[in-house]
Amino acid sequence: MAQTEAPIAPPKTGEQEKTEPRDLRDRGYLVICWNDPVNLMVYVTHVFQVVFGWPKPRAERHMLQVHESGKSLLVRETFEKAEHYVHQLQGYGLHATMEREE
Amino acid sequence: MKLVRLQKSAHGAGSYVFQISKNEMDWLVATLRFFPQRESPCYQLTRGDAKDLKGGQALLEEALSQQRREHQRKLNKFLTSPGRFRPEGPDQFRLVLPVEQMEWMLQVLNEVRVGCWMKLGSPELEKRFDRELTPEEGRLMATLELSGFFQTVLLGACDGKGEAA
Repeated sequence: MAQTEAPIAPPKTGEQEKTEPRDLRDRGYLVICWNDPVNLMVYVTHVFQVVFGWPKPRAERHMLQVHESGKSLLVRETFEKAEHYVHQLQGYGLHATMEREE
Repeated sequence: MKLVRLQKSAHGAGSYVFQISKNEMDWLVATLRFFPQRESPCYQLTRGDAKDLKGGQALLEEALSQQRREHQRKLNKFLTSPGRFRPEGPDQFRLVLPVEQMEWMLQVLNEVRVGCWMKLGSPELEKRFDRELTPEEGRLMATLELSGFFQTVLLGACDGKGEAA
């Protein structure tokens, strides 16, 4: 793991789970990273390690999937957590989006 | 520019100590001064058409605009901090970057790189331009390459590579 900051913790949703509708609580939201030719491969790997706290091999596997397949499904999460991750990834300049699982 | 050592601290995660030449120092400062380059701080939140996601676009733009202002503030402090680059010998300087500064500097350098690429028309970087670049395009391409160079050095340091013997 890169020797930088600890993984960025997603928001806790315990309290929200009691009040929000079920469809927002379910882990039905996909965080996808899309390929672009400008972000360095080592940078993308580093960002995945920092944002998700993944070990380097897992981060590299997703980075290569982005590079070779044009996109990679990174995580399937609740609305709040998926939104948090997209904010983090875009903050690093990666082309990440969240999509509702069909 | 190369990593000399990772300096541990009793109070925090420590600092990266780099040796940097005069030319590299000037290039690093010049590259950082180009921040920000992108017109918008973010992409679309979603490519789909789910209504509950469309509402989050404004929140994303607000969050990343705030982040951009914070980066600018830290960058101004970094660039105006006396003794940031400490002379060490003929043409050599020492740059100490605390661990917590590495992430925002990587983000700033990447913003400059991506912004230059967008202004160049988002070209395939592995292909050569089939025409002569204008002076402005040449400046953008040079800045893009320099930001990538410094990103690579910083990432190598994060990964424990490049430490001098």
